[in-house]
Amino acid sequence: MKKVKYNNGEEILIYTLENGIKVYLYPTKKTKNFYITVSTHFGSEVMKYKSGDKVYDVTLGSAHFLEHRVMDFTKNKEAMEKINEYGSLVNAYTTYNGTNFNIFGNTNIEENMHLLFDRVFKANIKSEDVESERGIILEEYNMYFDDPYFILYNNLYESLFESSYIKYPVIGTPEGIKTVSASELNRLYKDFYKPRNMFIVVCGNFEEGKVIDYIEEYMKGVKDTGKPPKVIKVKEKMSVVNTYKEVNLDVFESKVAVGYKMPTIVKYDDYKTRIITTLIMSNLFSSTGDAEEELQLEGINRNSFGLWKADDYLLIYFKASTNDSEKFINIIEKYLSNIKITKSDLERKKRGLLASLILGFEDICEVEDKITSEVLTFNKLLEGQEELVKSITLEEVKEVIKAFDFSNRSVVKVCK
Amino acid sequence: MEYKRQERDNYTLHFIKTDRFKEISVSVRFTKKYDLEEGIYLKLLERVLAYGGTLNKTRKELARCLESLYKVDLSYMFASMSDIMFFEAKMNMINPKYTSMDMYEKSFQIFKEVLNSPKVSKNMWDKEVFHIEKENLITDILNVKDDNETYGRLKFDEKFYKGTPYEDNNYKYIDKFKSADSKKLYSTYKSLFDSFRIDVLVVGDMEEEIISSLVDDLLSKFKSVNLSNDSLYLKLKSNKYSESEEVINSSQSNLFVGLVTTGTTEYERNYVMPLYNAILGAMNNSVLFVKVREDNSLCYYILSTANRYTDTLVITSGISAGNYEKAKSMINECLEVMKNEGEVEKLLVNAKKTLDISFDDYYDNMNKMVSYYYTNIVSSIPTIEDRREKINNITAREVVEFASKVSVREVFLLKGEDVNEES
Repeated sequence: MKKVKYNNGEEILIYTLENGIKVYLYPTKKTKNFYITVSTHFGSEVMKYKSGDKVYDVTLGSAHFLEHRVMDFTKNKEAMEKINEYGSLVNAYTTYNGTNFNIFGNTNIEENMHLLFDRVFKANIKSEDVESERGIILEEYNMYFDDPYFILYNNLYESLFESSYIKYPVIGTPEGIKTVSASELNRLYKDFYKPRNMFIVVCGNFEEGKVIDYIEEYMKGVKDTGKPPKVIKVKEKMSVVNTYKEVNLDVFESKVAVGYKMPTIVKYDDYKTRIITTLIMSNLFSSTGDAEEELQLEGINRNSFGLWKADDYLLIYFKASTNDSEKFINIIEKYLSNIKITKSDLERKKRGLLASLILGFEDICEVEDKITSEVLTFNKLLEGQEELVKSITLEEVKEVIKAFDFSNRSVVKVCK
Repeated sequence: MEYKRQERDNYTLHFIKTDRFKEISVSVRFTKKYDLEEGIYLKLLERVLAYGGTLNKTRKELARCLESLYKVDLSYMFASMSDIMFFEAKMNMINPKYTSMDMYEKSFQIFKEVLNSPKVSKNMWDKEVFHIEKENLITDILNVKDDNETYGRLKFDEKFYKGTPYEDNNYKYIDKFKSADSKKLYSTYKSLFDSFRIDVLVVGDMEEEIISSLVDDLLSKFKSVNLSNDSLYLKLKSNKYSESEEVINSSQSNLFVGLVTTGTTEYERNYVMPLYNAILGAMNNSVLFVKVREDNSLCYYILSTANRYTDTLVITSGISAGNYEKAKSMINECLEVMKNEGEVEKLLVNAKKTLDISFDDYYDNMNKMVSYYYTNIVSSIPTIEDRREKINNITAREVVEFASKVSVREVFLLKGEDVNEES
């Protein structure tokens, strides 16, 4: 067992069990509830993989479809009745880099774990259930594609990337949803829902010893089936697919996005680079920034920014709801072409980041989310975050600014 | 957790002391009877207060100042509840014991500046700020057309809640926003000083003496007035069944079904209706979820919510237009299931547990805690523990009796394309 300590007395315990699965525990008495999750490093970014001598293409949307079928509580009426008897809430979601199954409750923690583990580790995907699930997932797809911002982002990624997983939505395509078979889903389940490719997180009010004893006991019945197969990553070229794209949709106000694709910055480790990049962008484009102030004064107040690392590229993107897309992009580029940050900006931003870290343990679901996203993204918990934030120097920030390359961009507009 | 109430000359202070959080929340709530015209200006006030005051002269300067104080969060909200409305000015700060003790005073200094000395001159709001935020707000409101579910709900509420404040929404009164002027905004702001009931709710592990003195100083120029103690229950205007639709360019349709109840008792409103709602459409295996989504694959989501001030429930779902009649018929079947004691009995324990867990959430969530205590101040709802206990003792018979009082009053479809027909 390993303890990861955080400031203000918070700590997370890490166990690695015999079958290879990792368990992260965050026991606390500040709530009556608990939140149990099981995750696998299998999300929509897996498009091709090699198992034995065979190479498999993955039908688009399979990870998400598999999530629906694994979390099969309604078809397992007995299990569902038990869950409801405890009043627990069950849910699941899929992202680019993983799938998460979760249960939230306040009583009978061992029974809740048992019910969740039985679904995730003993799934039985039947053809008839796959058929009946297609309609539900297509409705979910329709719901997303009624959202102009979802369409905007989807088209932005398609414009920026030629082959990367990010060009497809996690839910996949209608064709994939209509054609994926039970046998493919069973194979993916066998290949990627392996203990060594998965982890369990338990946060909330529980006795640490009892919980870990229970998990260890349960995991005696879940064999180590070795390493997950090798995921074959596609080669993505630097250039973008479209520099400009317009999508016609009956919207009240045009939605516009501009994305910049650049090679990953390797000056510092991945986490530190992300922190510094976020800090730089936030210093310009959050409410404390000069760029945001100008956008606000120009009436472009419905805007936001984000960053993502896809394959070997860093993506920085901005979106707004505005009929003056040219003005929006001009303001963005004016500030990106001349990024400045002072020592007092840096110290202020660091205080803001430290505040977020202090508040990071207020809610057990947020703690779970922090653990899961760190493990899915970095394959480990990020220790010493406060010390890292405090140690960032102006010179380091300037080095990252120097490494930015905003020459490679796509613009997407969703308009009437 | 410990609750304390202190009556001051000019406001009421409520301490909700708990060491559950590392934050302290100070919510100043100004309450009065609902008034549409004033509501328009309070909505604008939400935004213009973010532009600082005499010391921090711009939105950016204010934001920078707050960030340097370990990200103090100042926020403003206008909302209505039954036939009362409130304006909230709220400050959330990290408990100074985790940063530095002078943060109490420094944070309150900014809060005071914004609330007492905003950007006004000559009895008008700053013209530039007013103009920018009025235009931004108008465009924000009109943007609801790009969010089908929210837009559909507004259109549904206009029909279903006719005759009550719940029929009002910003989109419906966009012309009032267009004709708003900065003088009236200023006078509405000034009315906060002497025309509202004022409550301050402080949640966290605070130093009570320090907070008391800082809140006294924050509100020294304000004077609370009494709020009449009328019943908050509202009657809907229409008593006829109605069905309507509006066509939109979208792949999914949004279905809204409004349910009314007749002869509901106070006991049913407080305890039976939440349980009925959980069984119908607010728990894992709710009757609606299982029948409409799981057994018939007609939707991705379906749920119900209850409104205690109008004795109503609303079912919302995303469906394909071609499934409209089938979904409607399934919903009617679900309402019939709710009248079957044997069926309700099977789900009763589950629903009670679901509500039990949701009650725990009040202790884990600062906003919910403020909202609960505030609702109690203005409408004397039963306590969380009273609700937990009474709901636990409800029988299936009582739920079925309540179900016999429920009927469908309004059906509204925001109609997209028939995706099934196309495919």
